[in-house]
Amino acid sequence: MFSGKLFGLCLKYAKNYPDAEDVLQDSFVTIFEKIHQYKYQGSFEGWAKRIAINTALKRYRSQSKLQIVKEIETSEEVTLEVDEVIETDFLLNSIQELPDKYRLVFNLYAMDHFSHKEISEMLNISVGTSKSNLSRARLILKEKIIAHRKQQEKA
Amino acid sequence: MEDNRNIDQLFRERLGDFEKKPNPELWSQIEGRLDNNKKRPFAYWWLYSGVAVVIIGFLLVPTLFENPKKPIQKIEQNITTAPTEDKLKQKDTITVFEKQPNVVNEAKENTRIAIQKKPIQKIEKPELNIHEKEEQNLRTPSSRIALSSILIQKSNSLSYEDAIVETPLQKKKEKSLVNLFDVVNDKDSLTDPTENTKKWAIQPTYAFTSSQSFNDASPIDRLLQSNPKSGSNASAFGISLTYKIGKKWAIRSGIHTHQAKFSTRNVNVVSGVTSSGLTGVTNTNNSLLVSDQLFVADSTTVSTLLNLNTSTMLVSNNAVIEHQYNYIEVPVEFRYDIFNKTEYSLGVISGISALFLNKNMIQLLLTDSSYLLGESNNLNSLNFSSNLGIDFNYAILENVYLNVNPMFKLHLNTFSRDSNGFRPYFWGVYSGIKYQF
Repeated sequence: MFSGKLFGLCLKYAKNYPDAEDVLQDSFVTIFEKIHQYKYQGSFEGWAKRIAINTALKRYRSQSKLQIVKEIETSEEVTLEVDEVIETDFLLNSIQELPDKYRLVFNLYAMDHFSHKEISEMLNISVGTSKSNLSRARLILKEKIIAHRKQQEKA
Repeated sequence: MEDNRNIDQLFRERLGDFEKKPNPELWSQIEGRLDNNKKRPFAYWWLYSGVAVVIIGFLLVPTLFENPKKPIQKIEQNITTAPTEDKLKQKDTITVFEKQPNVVNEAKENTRIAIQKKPIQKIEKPELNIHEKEEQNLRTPSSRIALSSILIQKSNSLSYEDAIVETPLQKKKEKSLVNLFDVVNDKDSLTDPTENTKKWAIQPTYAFTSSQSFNDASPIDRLLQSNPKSGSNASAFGISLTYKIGKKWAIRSGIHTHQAKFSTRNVNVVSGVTSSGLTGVTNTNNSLLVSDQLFVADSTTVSTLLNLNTSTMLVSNNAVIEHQYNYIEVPVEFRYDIFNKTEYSLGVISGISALFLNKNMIQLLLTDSSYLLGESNNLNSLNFSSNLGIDFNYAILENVYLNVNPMFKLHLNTFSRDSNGFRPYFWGVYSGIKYQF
């Protein structure tokens, strides 16, 4: 089944593991409920993926107001706990630790090839905000990778 | 810019087709939520069937009442006719005794008078065939011969009177009268079984009940969705009243206690969370405030908190959250006899209960202490359940029965909102001593 792929996607869009599980659960419930709406246009996987993305967006769009910028600082501490050997896990964690808006924009643009215009419509933000969020996300990720490499060199 | 593209590329390459198998537990949870969506019509079907049973029951009441009335009327008739008959017969015997020396003709005249005097009694006659037969058997052959000529003259229906009048010997008359009394008495006892007169039954009930859920959902918080849960056993007391509304039907009501108790295990409790950590925690909605000091959190939040803050301590990772809510239950149920012998009977019981909430409590149990978390805010104060069960009675004394009644009760609207798909049901073995009166 494509559940592995879908859960992978949820993990990227969610900020942590339990959140990803929640998103996956909600996605599957939606998929089963709306299965009759699937018109065999395009791949089923793509359709399911789109539902998962929408579910994740819905979740963080509504919660975004409660976002605290301070979280970036605290999350860096957590990064140090990550097992250095597993690079993929480190990358995933880096994404997950991004603030909600940055993470969503980065995922949509870099991973799922949406344009800034599409993203701005999906997230109800301006194209400018989408662009700046993307560059900030990249910046944070870059810093994290550099910090990570430095740490590996030390070790 | 190149750097930026590299970052995009790096993540895309490494995570673009990132796959991870979700926890298998997740499937059961999804299944639970989907089932919940599907089960709703089932629950409605259950409710409607319960209501239908009650309505059909009430519709049946008048028709059922007609049947038992008939035998009662018959009994009354027998009782009222029996003595008048005896009186009349006694009169007959007297007249016969007086006119014994007289000729047959005179006797004939006498009987005619007797016939004219008793037009009312004729109506009752068809029912008294047994008496007649009895009488005929007692008649001596000689009297029968004497009778024959008269019998021809009179209509067949009046032969009974004639028989009484014609019998020459008073001794035999008396005998037959005594026999008649016996027959009447016997008849009374035959058409008047105890079940028909004893319509009411009262029963103090004790029940062993068990609370269960169709799924592992938590009505307390979604945070506890993945924790193992279990229903608890409890006792219930009450009194039930049964009224027989027909040969096979009975209506049952009463008042009972009804307890529901569910435990959520392996709950993480942390202490020493500072207010700075708190905001993030409450925002992520991954923890519940227990007191100023204690929090309930999921495992990820716990590890995050422990990493963030040195003052954070894991108080327990196997605490139990106990959710107890009690009802006063008022059932309206119908019982249908599958079979009914004198010493035991077996029936099916179905109906609905109104449940009035009278206790609502959520507790956190640690190994050495417990905290009252408060009460559930999504419980309805009036709930309904649909009931189905089997009722077994065993006679231990006259009018006293030992009753065993396993029941299944499906709760229909326990929660007003946010039950997270939690669907409780109950089974219980109700037992008691039933007294019929």
